[in-house]
Amino acid sequence: MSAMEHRILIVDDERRIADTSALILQSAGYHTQTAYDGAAGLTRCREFHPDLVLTDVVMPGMSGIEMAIAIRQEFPGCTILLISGQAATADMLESARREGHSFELLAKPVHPTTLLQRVAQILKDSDRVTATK
Amino acid sequence: MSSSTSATSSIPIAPMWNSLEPGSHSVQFYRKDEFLVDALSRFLGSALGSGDAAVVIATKSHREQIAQFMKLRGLDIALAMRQRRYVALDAAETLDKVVVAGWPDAERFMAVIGEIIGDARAATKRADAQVAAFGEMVALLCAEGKSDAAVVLEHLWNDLASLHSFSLRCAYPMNAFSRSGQGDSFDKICAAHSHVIPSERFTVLASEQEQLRTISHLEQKAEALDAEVAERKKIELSLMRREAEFSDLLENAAVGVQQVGPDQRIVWANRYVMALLGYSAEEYIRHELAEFHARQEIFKDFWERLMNRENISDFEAELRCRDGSVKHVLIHSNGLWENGRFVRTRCFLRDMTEHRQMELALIQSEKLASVGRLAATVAHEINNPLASVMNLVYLAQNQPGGAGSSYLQEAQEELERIAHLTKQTLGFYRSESAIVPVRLGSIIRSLASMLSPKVSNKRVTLLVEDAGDPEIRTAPGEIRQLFSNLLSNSLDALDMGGVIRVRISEAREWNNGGPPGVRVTIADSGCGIPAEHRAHLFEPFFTTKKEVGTGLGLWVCKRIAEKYQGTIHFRSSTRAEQSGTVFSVFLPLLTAETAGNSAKPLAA
Repeated sequence: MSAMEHRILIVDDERRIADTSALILQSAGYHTQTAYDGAAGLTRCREFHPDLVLTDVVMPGMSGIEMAIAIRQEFPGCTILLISGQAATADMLESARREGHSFELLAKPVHPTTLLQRVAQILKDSDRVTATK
Repeated sequence: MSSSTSATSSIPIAPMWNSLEPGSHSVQFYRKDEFLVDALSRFLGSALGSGDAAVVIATKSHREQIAQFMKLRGLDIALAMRQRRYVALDAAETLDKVVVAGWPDAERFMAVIGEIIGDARAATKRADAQVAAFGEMVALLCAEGKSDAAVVLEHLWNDLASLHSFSLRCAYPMNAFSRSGQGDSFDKICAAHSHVIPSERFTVLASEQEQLRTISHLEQKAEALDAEVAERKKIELSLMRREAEFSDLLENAAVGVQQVGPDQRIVWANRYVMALLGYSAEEYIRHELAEFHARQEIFKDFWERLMNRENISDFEAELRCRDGSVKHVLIHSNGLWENGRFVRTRCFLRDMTEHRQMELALIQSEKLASVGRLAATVAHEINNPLASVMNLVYLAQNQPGGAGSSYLQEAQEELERIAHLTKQTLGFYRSESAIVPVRLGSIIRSLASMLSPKVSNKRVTLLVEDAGDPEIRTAPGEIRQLFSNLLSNSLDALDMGGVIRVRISEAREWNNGGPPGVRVTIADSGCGIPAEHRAHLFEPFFTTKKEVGTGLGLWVCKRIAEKYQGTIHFRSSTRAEQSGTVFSVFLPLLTAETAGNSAKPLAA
């Protein structure tokens, strides 16, 4: 699958982060959509069927982790990357891990170059997994 | 003396106790005077009646009674006295003549008494004449508690008897030996005599059978008494041991125990108290308790409550140690009252110094933890705008056309957000400026003119009213920040054409009992604060203005007001037509010293 065909959903209650991240990923050739809270992210996921979800963790209402668990159950092929700038995230991740859900986390702020590299790597890996299936 | 007549007949004396051979030195014990007098009148009377001599060294009362009794027996006492065969002397006066420095003097005794006996014998004008003597000087010594001196005197009598042949009778009341410890003296006195005559209890018994029964009875009694004395000694010993145990227990208790008398002086204190405070017994006991209280007002309160018969528990006090340091103690105390009078306190102290230090350390570490939490929150709040800025700058740099400038503009705004945040938090912790006299009116007016562009843009009316504006001592920078935040909030709350009224007045803190100061009220006719937000208003990072606010403004205001011992309150209404919010800030007129003490950096 080429980069042009990959779909990425960006979820962040900080709209400006979500929007600018989307622009950056678009400029790299990805299809993107944005949502500004967890519940909206889950709804958008059902319509958009992304290959990758980039999400903030601490958001009003449904947290990024809760959303990620729900997405993973519904869309097992979708990869999720958490991005957080809050120290409390470590505790949330740990309690999710104890319940059998482990996620990759990037610390905010992530430099756009780093983000693009990481996204490319994740999608390449997941393509390989899909191809071998 | 009519009663004496009947007494002589009512107390018969067995013959064997009366007929003693010449040269004997007998001791007569007695319970009642009349028995003694009767016995003596027989002893002396028989001597006088047979032409011998009699010497009486006795109390005045005994001398008179003996003479009376002998007269009743038909003896011509007056004649015998004139013949100087009968000599009656006062015991106390005679004793004075033979005693030197409280002790019977042998030489004087021999001289004085020897002469008396010799003279009496000579008066009979018969070479073989006998002298019957009765002496009571020994009983006087015994009554004074000088039984050893009495025994010495008895031996002097014996010595004298070996020189002059005479029959001597001494007399001791039985009640002189009524204590169990006097057995020794009693034995010594008996040993100094050739004959012992028991008291009337025994001597009145006529038959031998009666006497034997009495001896058996007395033996039984003595046995029982001995046993009882031994039992009592045992009880006494065990009581003493118990007392020693209890005092040892109190002395070594792991709490301070002390007693304070009605004069507020310390009566007793255990080792714990002395060790805690470092005083010796001389430095602590009998000193006034107030001397050791570091805070007199606390001591006064403590004593007043004690005098009100309060049962004081967990009373916190500070005691001064010998080395000048202060111990924090917890006191339990109440008074012992007898017949409505305060006798002394029962007072128990526990050292809480270490506990208190731990508490302070805990508070300190909690403070540090809250600073840590704050820092974490601040970091998060900074991270979001930074993430935006990074994205925006990236986009601007990678923009092929001229659209980049709008991204850079947004980046600029985000940078301002960060700058504002750091100014609010980090700047706050840097306790900047010196304390100087300040008038709030001038600060607020300068803020008003600074805000005037925004005020006129929104067509807001800003009214500043001075109703007394005394100088207060404070840091103008922080006060400026406080009112700048409040005025900005008011402006933000207003739509086009609202009103902000600022009023500055001299006031006291809420009720009239508080310190004098200045109150500033800032009232706006804005939309008001919804009820669900009111409780969170002063919490850090609470904001309803997500796009523009940091959530630190009011939190900072409160911290600044509290730093200068002031307060900040608000009232708000969201009812249509009446909506609006009033913030009221009170700042006390601090003296230079209190300002110096209070204006410490908040993070410390």
